[in-house]
Parts: sequence; structure tokens; C-alpha cells
Amino acid sequence: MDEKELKKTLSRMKEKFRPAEDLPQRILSNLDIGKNKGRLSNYQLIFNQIHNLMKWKIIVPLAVVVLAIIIFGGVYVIDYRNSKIYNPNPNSGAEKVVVPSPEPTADINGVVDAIFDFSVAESNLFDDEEKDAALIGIDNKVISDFGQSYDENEL
Amino acid sequence: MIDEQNKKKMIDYERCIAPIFRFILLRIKNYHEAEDLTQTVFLKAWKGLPKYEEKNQFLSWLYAIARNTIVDYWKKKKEFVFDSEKTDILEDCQDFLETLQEEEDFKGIINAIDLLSEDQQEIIILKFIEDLPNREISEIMERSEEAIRQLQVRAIKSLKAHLDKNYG
Repeated sequence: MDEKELKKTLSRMKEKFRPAEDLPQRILSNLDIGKNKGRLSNYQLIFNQIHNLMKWKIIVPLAVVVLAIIIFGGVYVIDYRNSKIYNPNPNSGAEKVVVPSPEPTADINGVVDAIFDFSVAESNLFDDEEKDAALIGIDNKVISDFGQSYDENEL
Repeated sequence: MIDEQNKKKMIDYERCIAPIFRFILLRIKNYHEAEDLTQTVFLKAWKGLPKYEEKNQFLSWLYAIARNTIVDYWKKKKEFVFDSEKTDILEDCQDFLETLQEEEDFKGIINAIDLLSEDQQEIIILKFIEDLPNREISEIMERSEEAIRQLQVRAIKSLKAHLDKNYG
């Protein structure tokens, strides 16, 4: 067989090797159109199942994370607002009160004045702390009264 | 847009299905598996249709999918024990063969094609059996047209040499 004849034989093969006539129909049914419209092949059913599982694997954890963010975020916001309502002056009490130290001086009068100033500042600080303690005591009383039954004589 | 018309155009027997089937059949040499793989190719094509770029020939795109499908097929085939009882594709194509001489010629050519490299097998099918233009073959095989020309010269010489050697 020479090269020319070989090429001719090869081109004849195009007509001889053909798929079954119903192959387009089978492909169509696989593509979910044609004769079996609406019915899914086993392959497609498995594929759809995997696809759905993948979808749920992504959607469910995402929903859980979003829900967790909403819940914890909401709780945090409520706490933050409450702290603002019940603590009208956030700077008081929360910060450390510093008693000013006496300035170094060589004059004896200055030293005495500084000691007095320091003593006054400290006594003011103690007064504040006592007031806070009294306030806590009032709170305690209110709280303990809250549990008592109604007494009309109090009015 | 994807519509019923596109689906029907895609599964055109003469223009699309038969060439893809032949390409697969002559590569894997199994008629029934070639039909199954052809279905797989069209299923993949259908799913990938939105990604199809119209600048390429539609048939070339199908051939590219078929090439990948064949590669996957061989990979899977290696995982199983290879079936020693090789299906003779001529038995399944018996209805189309007119003479015994024709059958002998085809048998010789099919066996000789099997001895070629993968690239040479593809070029013999695409150029000499399917009669595709070099531009389209270069698109399918992702090579320059010049490389395709050289490859087809080498492939036909190699095929003839194998035929001469085995069938004198």
C-alpha cells in the first residue's frame, strides 16, 4: 500500500466507523431533554445528591457562624448600652485616683505645707471612699427591701 | 443563551457526535466504551457550555474535551486489572464493512495506528480520517500549524512503515 492509497483508505474509515443511530437520543436523555424528559439518569441522580451535600456543607456552617455573630454581637451591644445607662459618669470610680505628691523643696515651710496638702488630699480620698461605701450600703438596703412583702404602713 | 436549540445543535449526529465517537473509538479500541465516553464528553460539554468561548471552533472544543476524557479513561483503566480480552472494534462495525479486503485493510491500519505515539495517533485521526484543516487541529492539539504539518508528515510515514513491516 503506497502513501496515496493509505490516505484514501484512511479517509474511507470516516464512513465506516459510526456510532449507533440512537446515540444522540441517549445523549439527549442524559442531558435531561428529548424522549425521557423529566427523568434523571442514575449518574445525574448521584451527581445531584453530591451537589446538594456540597451545598449543605457550605450553607449550614455559614448560617451557624452568622447566627453566632448576630447573637453574641447583640448581647455585647445590649451589655454595652446597659453599662452606659447605669454608669452615667464612666470616668468616676473606674480610674485610679492619684494623690499629688509634694513637690521637693529646700524650704522647711514649704515641706510642712506640702505635708499638709498631701494629708488633706488623702483625707478627701478617704471621704470619697466612705461615701462610695455608704452608697453601696444604700444599694444593699434597697436590694434587701426588694425581697420583702408590701407594707402599707410604710406609705 | 443556552436553549433547546443549542442543545439540539450540540448533539448533531453527523457534525459532532460521529467525529467525536470515531476519535474516541480509534484511541481506546472499544466500541461500547467509546459510546459511553462519547456520552460523557457531551455531558461535560453541556455543563461547560456557559464557559465556551465562541472564538474557538465548537468541534475543536469538543475534541479538547474528548482528549481529556480519554486521559481520564486511561488513568482509571490503570487502576483496574487490564482486560486481556481486547474487543475487536471491527466486529462491532461489521455492518459497515463491504468486503473482506476492506476488513483486512482496516484491521492492518488499526493495529498499525496502535503502534504510533499518542500525538501521531491523534494527527492520523484528525487529519487523514476526519479531514480537519490544520488550523483546527492546531487549536485542538494546542500546537502551531507548522508543528502540525511536521507531525502529520512524520505520522503518515511512520504508519506506512509499520504497515509495510507487518503486512508487507
